[in-house]
Amino acid sequence: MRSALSLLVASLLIVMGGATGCIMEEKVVEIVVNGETTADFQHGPSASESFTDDFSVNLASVLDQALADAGFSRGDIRSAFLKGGAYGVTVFSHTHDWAVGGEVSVQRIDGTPGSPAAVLEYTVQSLEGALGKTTPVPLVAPGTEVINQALTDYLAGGDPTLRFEVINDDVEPAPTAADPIQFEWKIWVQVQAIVEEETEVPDPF
Amino acid sequence: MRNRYLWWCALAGLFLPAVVAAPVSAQIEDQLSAYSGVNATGYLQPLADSFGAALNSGFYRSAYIPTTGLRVSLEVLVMGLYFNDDQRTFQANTEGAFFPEQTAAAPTVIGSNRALIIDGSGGAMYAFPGGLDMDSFGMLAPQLRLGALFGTEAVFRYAVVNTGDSEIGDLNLLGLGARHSVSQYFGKTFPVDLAIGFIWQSFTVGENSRGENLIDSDALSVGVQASKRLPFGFATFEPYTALSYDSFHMKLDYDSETNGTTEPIKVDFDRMNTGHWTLGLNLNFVIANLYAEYNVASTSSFGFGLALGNLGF
Repeated sequence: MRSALSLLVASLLIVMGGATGCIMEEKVVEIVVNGETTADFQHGPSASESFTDDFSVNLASVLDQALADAGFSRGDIRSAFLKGGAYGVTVFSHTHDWAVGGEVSVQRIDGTPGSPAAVLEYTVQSLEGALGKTTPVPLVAPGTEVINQALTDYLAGGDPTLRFEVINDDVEPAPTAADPIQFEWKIWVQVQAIVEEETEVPDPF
Repeated sequence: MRNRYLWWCALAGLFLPAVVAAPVSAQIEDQLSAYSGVNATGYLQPLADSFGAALNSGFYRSAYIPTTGLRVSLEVLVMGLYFNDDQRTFQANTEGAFFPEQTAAAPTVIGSNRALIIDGSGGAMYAFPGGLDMDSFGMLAPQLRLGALFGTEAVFRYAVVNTGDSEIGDLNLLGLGARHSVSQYFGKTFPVDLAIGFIWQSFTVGENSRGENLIDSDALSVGVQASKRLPFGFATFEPYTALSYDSFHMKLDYDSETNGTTEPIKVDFDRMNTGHWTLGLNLNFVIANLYAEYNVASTSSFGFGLALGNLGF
């Protein structure tokens, strides 16, 4: 009886021990890491339809931070690219709405500065309608290429820095000295990196 | 000597769930961080289906429960299933500042390990995370069966595994069930054994950055079983079948970094209720039982295992 029991339990342990090794498969899994940079602006009070603002971003620090938060490093990245841009109005109090129009351009300012290229455009955007929201906007190819090239350079070990410039050239109704436009707003630029991670995955049968 | 063997058996049973589930919990937290709640539900649905199917299996392998007498068995249950192709993708929505918003067939947690990349306006791109590229799912649990009193037996499932890794966290399984012989009321001439029973279980996996459970689930199965013991050499051969009603609920609590900032996300999956038909075969030796079964439910599964004890008498 005892030998039968021994055989049975030993068999069970061997099978289970073997299964432990067999059921785990080494796989490379692609994880997505999101990085984001934001800039806050305050405009006015102004009687002009045209205004500009700018901000600079060190892309390497944005991605390094996002990767560190997720437990990765630059060497783990397979690819990185621009995901999108958005804007939103954060402070606005008027007796009537305004519609604004313009574009945001981007240029490299590390090393030899590149030319500004439009990256996103906004037309007839209601300030009241954008209040408290994050509104994704269509991107423009030349600006996207500048950012994606900067990301490629980052992967190659570079330290790219970008300068974004907001160029607003249209306000409806036109502001006046008696009715100046004034608001605060924010821009979001989001990038994604695909990270490869080796892991053991159970696939027992 | 016998106690030592049982102890090793129990240890092995406690160890393997960690081997299977812990790497999954660590990895899915990384994968999920790119998703907010809406996509997380679709991404993890195959895993929820698997947990539900696995937990609600292996509760019985015989409807025979004597009226009185000490019956004890320590059991090791293996519950498994194969994933269907339609479980490998789900309709995922783009999130964050990507324009225009799109829907795509992205990998689920068991889908392709490669990220899915789609194009947006002006050269923008959006990536959905890959899955773990799994074809099957398995779960192993220890179970203790104790009876019989007035034709009733109790069933316990218990496993606590501390992986010692703060990223992975612990794994806890607690199950309590009872079964009662119905055929005892029909006399000894009744052609089959009949029993009714229920089992409730709580299963938690992993730990998020706030020290709470990454996955928190509970399962309940209520049903009726029938079996017939037939002589088979020095053993008995016992086909069995069962009908039950299963319920499973899963909650997820993780950190999302969808927009580049960390945000706690709680996802409450819809409670899954399903009918469940089991067909199995049990071999009773003097001090051990071997069984294999197939479970037809909304997610079908199979099970097999071994019990050491005196259930064969």
